[in-house]
Formats: sequence, C-alpha cells, structure tokens
Amino acid sequence: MYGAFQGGTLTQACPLSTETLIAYWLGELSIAEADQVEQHYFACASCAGRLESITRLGAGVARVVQRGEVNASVTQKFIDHAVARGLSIRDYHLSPGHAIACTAAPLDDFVVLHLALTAVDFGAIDAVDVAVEWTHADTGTRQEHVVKSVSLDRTLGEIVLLHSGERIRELPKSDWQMQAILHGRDGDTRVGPYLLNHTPWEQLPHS
Amino acid sequence: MSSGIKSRLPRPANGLSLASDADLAHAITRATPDEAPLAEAELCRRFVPRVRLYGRKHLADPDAANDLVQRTLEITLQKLRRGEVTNPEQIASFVLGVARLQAHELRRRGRHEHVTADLEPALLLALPPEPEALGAERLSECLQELGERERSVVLLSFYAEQDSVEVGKALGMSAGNVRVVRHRAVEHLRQCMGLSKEAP
Repeated sequence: MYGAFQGGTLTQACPLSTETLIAYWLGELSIAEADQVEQHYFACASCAGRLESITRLGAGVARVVQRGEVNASVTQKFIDHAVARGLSIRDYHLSPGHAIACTAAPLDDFVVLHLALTAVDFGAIDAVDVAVEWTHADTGTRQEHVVKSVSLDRTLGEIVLLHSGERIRELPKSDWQMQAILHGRDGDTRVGPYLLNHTPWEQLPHS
Repeated sequence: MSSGIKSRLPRPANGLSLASDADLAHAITRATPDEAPLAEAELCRRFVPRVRLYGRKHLADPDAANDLVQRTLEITLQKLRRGEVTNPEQIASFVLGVARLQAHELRRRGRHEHVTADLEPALLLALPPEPEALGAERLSECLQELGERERSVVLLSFYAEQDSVEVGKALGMSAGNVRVVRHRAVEHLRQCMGLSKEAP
C-alpha cells in the first residue's frame, strides 16, 4: 500500500517515508503495517523524531483552526466537525444571481460562505477558481483577485469558503461579488455572480 | 559485569548519547551502581518520546499517554535491573511489547484507577518536557503559504480527522493523490516551521 511496504514487509529499513508516518498517525495502515511502523520507530530515533514533528504539526493545525486563524476552502463535514468542537460558525448560503446581507458577530470564529453550484457536471470539472471583486461602500475603491484551485465539496455540490471571523470583522462596509470559474475538458464555465453586502456588526441597527 | 559492555559505555554523562540502546540495556543489567543511574536516565530519555507517541496514538488523552510512559519505563527498568530481559539487544522491541500490554491494561481498567506512585529517579531525570506547542501565528502563516488544495487536504486530515479515502471522495481526488498532496503539504509545513532541521 505505502512506499515502504511491499508484500506486508518493511523493505526500506530507515527512514520510513514521511507519507507512511502520516498514514500511520492518521490510522490508514493495516494492523500489520502499523505494527511494523511501531517496531521501526521504537528502534529509530530519526523516524521517531520525524513522527513527533508530524504529530506536533497535526496538533498545531487543530489549534490554529480552534483559534479561528485560517482561511480555506473546506467541506460541510469539516464545518460540522468544527461546530462539534465548540466553534461559532456563521453560515451564508449563496445561489448564483442572488444577493445577501452578511456580517461577523463579535464571537464568530468563522464566517462560512456556501456557493451553490447547480446544474453542473462535477465529473467534467478539473479545477475551480473563484474570482472576487470587492468594492468599498463609502469610497468606491475596488479590488479584484482570483483564488486559484479552490476545493469543491462534491458531496454537496458547493464551494465552502471558510473565513476567519477576526478578519471579516476588520472589513469596512463593502459589497462583494464572486464568480466560480469551472475549468473542464470543454473549456471554462463561469457560475455566478454570488453577491454579498457586508456590514460591520457594530453598524447594524441592533448595535 | 561484562567488561566488554562496560568499555563500550563511556563514563561521562554526555558520552552516553553515543552508546546504542542495546549498550544501555546491557549496562543497566550489568553495570555497577554508580553507572546504572546514568544509563537508566539515558535509556529513559530516548524512550519517553517513543512511548508517548505510541500512547497518543492508541490512548484517548495525553494524560493517559503520560501514564503509559511511566508504567512502561518503570517496568522496563525493573526488568533490566533484575536481569529479566532475555535479549537486551532487542530492547526496543521489549519496550514496545511492554507499552502494548500496558496500553491494553489502561484501556481495560480506565486510567482513573491508575494512581501515580513516586517516580523512578531515572524517570525524573529523563522525562523530557512535552514538546513545545508550535507557534499558532507562524503556523497560520505557513498554512496560508500552501496552495488551496493542499491547505484543504491538511485541514480535513488533521482537524476533521478524515482519512485519504474520505478526503478524496469529498474533494474529487483519488486516495493516492490525497496522500501525495498531504505529504507535500506536510513537508512544506515542516520546513516552514523549522521542524525538518530538528528531525531529519
């Protein structure tokens, strides 16, 4: 299954590949494979050290997420996991051509945008970019950028964009327009626009 | 006492780091009382991180992993001192075997029944502190340096605890491709955080 194994035998004495150590840590190896990895790293300071660095990274990644300090394209299952671990998530579900009002409350760890992709043949999509256009509501200043190769939650047929609540809270009142650019065998298809009108929490009427 | 073993075991404490695991095991079994504590401490220094890794993998929480470390090394040292380790050359396998049995026992009883006794002097000397938590701010920056797909795979793997098959199914990738992307991302993060120098 993994590089260091062949026919159930550890053929590469040292070091175990990082891929194998990651697979071990994440529980992807068979019992026999895991047994061999353990036999190896108990006798090998180098591999034990590398495994420890992987575990520290894994714990660090979890901590970064728990602190709400990352932006990424994820999946609904990821969001469910974050909620189960006590994070405060503000979800917005967007459909092409529709606008919604959005904000970030003081205690929101993340703001999540769900961009629905309807009538799309997901099997024909090689990659997805998201074009973002941002306009400052007061000054009219505009900025554009493209987020390349975002991940697509194919289970639900949507793009799930995770944004740090802290960063969203720093935004001024602004209008956002997004388009999904689907790269496929038959060329590019644009889906959208997805429209958001952002208002800082403290400027909302309830404040 | 085996003079051969003794001669291979350097007397200065810092020289012990050059001895093999087997040398240390022999030294604990056969060495004079003034040598044994240093060899025991060095053996514990080496095996505490490995047993702790095993414990974290197989037991529910870090405290249980620390219990496992203590139990495993106490038993190992006692067996070595009494000459009950039949093959000190295979000390790593012996420690792993003890760790497996003790992990099973901890799971069976529940860790609450384990009352921490006085620590072995060698363990007190050797217990390395928990590895320092990585700086969240720096790691956040390193994560943002990854490509979108790499970052997604890392978050789904290490936060949502999804295996490569699940991640691949969700993102439309093969499990093999997920493993390649994950490996590449982890190597980048290790380099970005300076961990690749710590543990080659």
